Amino acid sequence: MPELVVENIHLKYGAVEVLKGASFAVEKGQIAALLGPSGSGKTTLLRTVAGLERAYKGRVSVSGKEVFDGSRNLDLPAEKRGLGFVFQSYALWPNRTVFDNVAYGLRLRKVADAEVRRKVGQVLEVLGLGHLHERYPSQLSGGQQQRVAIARSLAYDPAVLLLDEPLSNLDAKLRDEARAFLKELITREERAAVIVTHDQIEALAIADTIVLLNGGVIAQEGSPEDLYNRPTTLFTADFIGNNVRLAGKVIAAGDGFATLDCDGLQVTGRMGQPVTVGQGGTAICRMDKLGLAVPGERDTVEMHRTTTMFLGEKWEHVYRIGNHSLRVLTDSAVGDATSPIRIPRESVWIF
Amino acid sequence: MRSDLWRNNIVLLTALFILAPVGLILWQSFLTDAFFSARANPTADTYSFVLSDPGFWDALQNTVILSAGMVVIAVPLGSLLAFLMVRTDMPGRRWIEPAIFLPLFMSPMVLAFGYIVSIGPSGFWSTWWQQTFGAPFWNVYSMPMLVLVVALTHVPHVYIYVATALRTVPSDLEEAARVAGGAPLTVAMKVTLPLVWPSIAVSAVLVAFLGFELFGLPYVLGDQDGRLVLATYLYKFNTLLGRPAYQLMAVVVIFIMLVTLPLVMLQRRMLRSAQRYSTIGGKATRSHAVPLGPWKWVALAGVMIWLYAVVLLPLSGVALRSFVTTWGPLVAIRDVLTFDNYHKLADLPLIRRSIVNTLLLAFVGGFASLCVYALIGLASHRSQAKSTRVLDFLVLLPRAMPGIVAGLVVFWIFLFVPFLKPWVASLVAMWVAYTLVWLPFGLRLVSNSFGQVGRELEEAAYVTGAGQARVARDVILPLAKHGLLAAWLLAFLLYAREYSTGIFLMGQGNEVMGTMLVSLWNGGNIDVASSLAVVNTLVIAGGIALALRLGVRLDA
Ligand SMILES: Nc1ncnc2c1ncn2[C@@H]1O[C@H](COP(=O)(O)OP(=O)(O)O)[C@@H](O)[C@H]1O
Ligand SMILES: [Mg+2]
Repeated sequence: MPELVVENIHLKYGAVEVLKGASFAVEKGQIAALLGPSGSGKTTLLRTVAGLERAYKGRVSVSGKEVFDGSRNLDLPAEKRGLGFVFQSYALWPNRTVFDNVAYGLRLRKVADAEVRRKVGQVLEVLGLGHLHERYPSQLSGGQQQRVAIARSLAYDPAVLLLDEPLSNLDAKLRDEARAFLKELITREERAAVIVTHDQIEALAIADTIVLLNGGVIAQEGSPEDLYNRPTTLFTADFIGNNVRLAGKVIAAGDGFATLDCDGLQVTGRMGQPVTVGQGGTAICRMDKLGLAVPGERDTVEMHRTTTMFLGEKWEHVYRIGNHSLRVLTDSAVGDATSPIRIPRESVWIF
Repeated sequence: MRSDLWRNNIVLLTALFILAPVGLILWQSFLTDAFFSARANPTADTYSFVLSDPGFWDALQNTVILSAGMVVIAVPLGSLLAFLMVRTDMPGRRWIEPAIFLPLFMSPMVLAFGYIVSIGPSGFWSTWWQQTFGAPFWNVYSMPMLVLVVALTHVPHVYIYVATALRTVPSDLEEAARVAGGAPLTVAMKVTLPLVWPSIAVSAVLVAFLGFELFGLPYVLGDQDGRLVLATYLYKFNTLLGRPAYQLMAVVVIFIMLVTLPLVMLQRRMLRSAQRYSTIGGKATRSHAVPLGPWKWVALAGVMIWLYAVVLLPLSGVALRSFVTTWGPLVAIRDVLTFDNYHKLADLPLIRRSIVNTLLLAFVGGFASLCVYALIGLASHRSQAKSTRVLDFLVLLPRAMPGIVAGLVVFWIFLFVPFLKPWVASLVAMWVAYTLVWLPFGLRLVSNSFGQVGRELEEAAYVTGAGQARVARDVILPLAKHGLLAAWLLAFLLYAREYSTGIFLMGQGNEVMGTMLVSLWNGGNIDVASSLAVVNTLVIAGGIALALRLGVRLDA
């Protein structure tokens, strides 16, 4: 049985329905990423799981124990759910030292002093904060604050850890390190973790499962490979990866593939859902899979080069045909003004 | 599910605390006699009695004149003072600021005394004037003088609102207008004034409302000619007919609140829209002073004249009077110089007790009230419950209740409730009345400081496993500590100054300085009254100095 089960959560702010039936589950030792654009309800969903917001319908259970059930009017308050929560702002208590911040959960549980010292010391050691016990939060760097916030939520051994954009306040370099560290830590400590993020790269890198949220409903749930390689909705295909979006008319369909005519630019790709000839459709093409082709190759379009920029490692070109423009990366400079551009059908989805 | 039971209970108790007095007044106003009397029967005649009393209409007229005069004089002067202090390069702004707060916290009784002994008949300044220029052209007991005094002493109330608003007006707006060729004065009128207009309007309503609460100044300065305002008219009924006419007093209270309650509601409304208006401007910005040129000396002189009139004039009079045995046109100062008036403070048990009681009530009682406010504040903190929104509205009632009225009703309640009766003339009753009077203000201070605590800091404690009591103890209260301390200090200042609330509650043993001053004035004992007034002012000045040292904002 999964450590955390969230079923069919509905939540309103006033008259606005913010969550419209979100469900997901996380196993022990696994990380689920709640991914979605800003305003899609990720934070709200996480807070609902923690008991900080109240849903009007749905169920939540932690370690096999029901903590929320809208139909039975069961709603354990946050303090009785025994979860760990890392706030986006870290929410460290400014009047307590690092040690006291981390020890708070244990002291609330009436753990003996010696045991508190041992446990907190151990957690802080694991997080590389061993030398900072007596500091106040304001005396720490952003990265250190983030780790104190994680330490605080780990100290009392919650089975489920909820993290709201824990990396978003770190600068880019620190974020890469912290991401790897976090993944390793959660796997080693065998918690079930939910990480909220709006950054798909982060979600792809850190998560065992991605729950993609769109306007309060789950657009798709699955492994990072699933979402990247087998999107089942237009939203998923478009949200994950760096894409070009083309609208047109279906001119051929069959065998799991369809061809779209977009004002003279023809693309073939996998059908994300069944389409028939004559209807309108949208093609999502992964930008990084576009390339220069040799004449006569399959899935190519003859296009005209308008701009070239040297980016250091690579060259970036803008190719045009009709109203469409595509950005194409190459390893070396290109001389020809017109070239066939490859849009490989394995990296195109038609909806 | 989190239990809201305790919240609702506290809200319920608070509602009772507020509604019981109001209910009692209403009930009493429809009886023929005191509500505890066996002869009391329901009637509406009391209303017609009061309405047919010419004295009531006189008092109402005087009150309206005072209130209007305050608005007409104090609002422009207060706004101008705020502009000079916040926006210009007028010299001496640093030390003028604390002086502005002094009239705000000084007892009106002390001020009134001060005017009498300074510029009253045979006052220090009058005598000097007479010897130098001939008969003085003013009469301290006249109506125009009263209007002038109450208006000038309420300039700081306007100042606070307008200065706060002015600090949020970005100065680049003014600078842009100046660069475009506007003279400083034109810019002030065309650019700055419209931006702080809502705050000026709020302060006008506040001052009008305060006009209906006035007691001390009109009592001392108007009473000699029998010129009454509503509050002193009310006070008269305590003794006028041989024994207290509670039913008449209740009717007068109802009439006072019929005016003050709408004003309070209006003010709350305007304050909300004014806040919405001012947040557009965003944060307080570093402001560049408008250069006044040579005019800055004129401005400084104007401010000094005002400060002289509301601080130095009355205070110098009281201070001087406290060191002499008597004063008159033919008295030489070295013949009458004495410390006796201060010795009497210590020697007279009544007076000594009033000083001890005041300090006790201000310090310990202020803290106890703060605890009550904090409890109510915690009950409504981040609560979405309907009951707390009702509370938000209910606190307008005590806000609309002048201190003297609150004291009267608490007195009634202590008379009425059997187990409270033994306490009717005790410090406890006094404390209850003070707590009721300052409930809206105290609650606002406390709620504001709780509101400053980051929501997620509280939530972090909840998810870590803390219940509501622990979150309050471990997160909210420690983080709101500075705000609570400030509220305690303000309570100390207000309680040390308070005089009208205790008037009806004063008995053997619970005298406080404020009420003592009123009864010393009634008894014509000016010697001791002056020294006691000096002590009272020193206590308050000490409190203000401490507040400034601790960085407490006095314009809360
Ligand atoms: N306290 C609130 N009251 C009303 N609406 C809210 C509140 N909090 C969030 N919302 C709305 O709910 C939606 C989801 O918000 P949120 O969960 O914070 O999104 P995300 O974390 O995915 O960016 C947004 O449209 C937001 O405007
Ligand atoms: Mg969010």
